[in-house]
Amino acid sequence: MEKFLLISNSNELVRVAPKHIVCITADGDYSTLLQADGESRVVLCQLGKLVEMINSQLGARGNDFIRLGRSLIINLNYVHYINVPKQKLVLSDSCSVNHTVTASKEALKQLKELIEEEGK
Amino acid sequence: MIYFNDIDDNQIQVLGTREENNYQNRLQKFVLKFKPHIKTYVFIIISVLNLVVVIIIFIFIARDNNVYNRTEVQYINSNEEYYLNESDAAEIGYFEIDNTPTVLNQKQIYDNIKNKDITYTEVVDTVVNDIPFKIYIPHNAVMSLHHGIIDLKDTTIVYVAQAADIRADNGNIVGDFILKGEQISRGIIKRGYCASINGQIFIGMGNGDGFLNETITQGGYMFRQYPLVHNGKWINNKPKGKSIRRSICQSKGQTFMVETISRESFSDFAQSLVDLGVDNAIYLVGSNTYGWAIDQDNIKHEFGNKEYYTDIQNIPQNINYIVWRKQ
Repeated sequence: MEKFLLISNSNELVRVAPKHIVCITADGDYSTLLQADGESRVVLCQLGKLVEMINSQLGARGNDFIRLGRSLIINLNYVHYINVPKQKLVLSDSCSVNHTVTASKEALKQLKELIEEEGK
Repeated sequence: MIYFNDIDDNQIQVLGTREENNYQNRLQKFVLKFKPHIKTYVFIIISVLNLVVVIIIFIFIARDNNVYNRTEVQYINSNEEYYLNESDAAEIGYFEIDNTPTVLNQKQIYDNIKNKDITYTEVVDTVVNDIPFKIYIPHNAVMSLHHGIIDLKDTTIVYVAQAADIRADNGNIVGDFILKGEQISRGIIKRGYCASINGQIFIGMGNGDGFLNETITQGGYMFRQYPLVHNGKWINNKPKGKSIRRSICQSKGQTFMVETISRESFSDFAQSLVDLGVDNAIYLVGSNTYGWAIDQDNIKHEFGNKEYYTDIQNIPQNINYIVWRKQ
């Protein structure tokens, strides 16, 4: 049975399959989930907290998620284009998802190296 | 890449379970690294099959080339006894050994004598072990040796055949050769000897020192050849192949010569002499070398090829014969 990421508080519950999460961006005490269907879901949860949820709930499936810096979590499966000098990262499934984010050069460089290493 | 909750903007963090992540990655890499490709499996299987085929072929070839090595019978010398190698004896002929051999005895030899004063050679046809033989039994004759070209018209001769071998390299006679007490050639490479001393024939094997000195002293004759039979026992010799075979033999004190009609091996010939009842025998030059015998009816029995040496100029300088003449 596929594992889902559950984000809940006293009032709300968000249940989403990891494969449908494109990226999560931090916004103060809130976090915004960008889903594969294009919808953005704002959750009342800091990014650090979501990191713990991913680690505890998804286990090995959480390896698909990479935290870039302090304010961005991406789904490795959606990495389409990296331009280190331009600090540009395009997340796409070549179908319905196409989203561009920015990150530091060093972070993008490390991400690029990680992807290249896994590709060997 | 570091693994703790809070990172700075220049760092990245792989989320999820760390140990499981590493283990899975390592396991995956290990499997992929050592997982043989299908082509590798095929290559290994084909290589093993080829190796098996090569081994099988090698085994068959090795069996085909296995040559049976017969153990040679030791030659006798003055102090040792020789032995008959039974396995060799069993392998001698191309046919089974006749268990009831035709034994030559004195009565048989003298049955057909018409006139004991006539010098002649009795010619007897017989078969031993399916080998057709001619036996030449001289009567009222004495044996000597002749060195050089024989006179084909010498009417005193009742039997003549080539005796000792001649070396191809230098044309010398092989082994000791004594002519009227004069030693013309030396050597004991041929272990058999035949000596004629004052009308008595001695056939034996070994150094023959006693006979050598006696022959010289008494003005007798002596030559050497391959020994075939000694004290009734078969002697092995190295020459291979088949040819017309001849020998000078003794049985119960009677001396006679033997010739095969068909081409035979050395070993078959020697064994046949044993079965004939021969006590001692040495070889005479065989093949198509020329000779003849005169029977009691004065009929000349020729053997070999008179043109064996094609031309008189090709006749070896040291050609030699045993000759039986009137006493």
